[in-house]
Amino acid sequence: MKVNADLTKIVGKEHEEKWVALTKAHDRLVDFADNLQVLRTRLGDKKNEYVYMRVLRSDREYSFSYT
Amino acid sequence: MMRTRWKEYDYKIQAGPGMSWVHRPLINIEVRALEGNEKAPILAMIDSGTDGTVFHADIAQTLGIDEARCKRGVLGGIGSLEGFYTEVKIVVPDFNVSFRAPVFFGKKLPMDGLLGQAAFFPHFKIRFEKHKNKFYLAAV
Repeated sequence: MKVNADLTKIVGKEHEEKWVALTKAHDRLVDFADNLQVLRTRLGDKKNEYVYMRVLRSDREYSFSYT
Repeated sequence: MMRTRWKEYDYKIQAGPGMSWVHRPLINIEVRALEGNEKAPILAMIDSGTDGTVFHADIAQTLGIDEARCKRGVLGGIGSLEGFYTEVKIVVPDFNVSFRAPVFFGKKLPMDGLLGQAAFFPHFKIRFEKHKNKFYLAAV
């Protein structure tokens, strides 16, 4: 399976700080919501067919390193 | 001597400040509670600067983990993050690798997950080749 690396093709400004459900090839955004459980409930029996990501804001640089 | 079998990944491209592109090493993993059948497939970031494993608290909620039964804590670093600790099972489907790991669920983590040194790194050899925007994993 070819996996899409360029998430900018499917993730936009409206998805920032939200949970998105992507296909396993990361080539299509299926749905999004503020809360992961709400999103997964909406997807019902197919919820585990998708991969979930919380989208970072695009107007910030991030340094995580929680040490 | 056995040759290492590396799996190649592209850095994921995400939007950054000033119309820039940011490349991040994200991989598919599954987070599972130790009890019950729920699992959360997420795209987590490999982060060599993080000591342990950190996930967004929404993942604990969807797995049915009772926050009230977990040890509360605060992670330091650049800024701080409130949350709670518990143990989960982490599955890396590309390698059929799974392991139990103590993790911190942060309530305001801006992303879904960080795979740090303590739990994730001992299971893999990891090569970052940023000049090619590729990274490589091999199970150990």
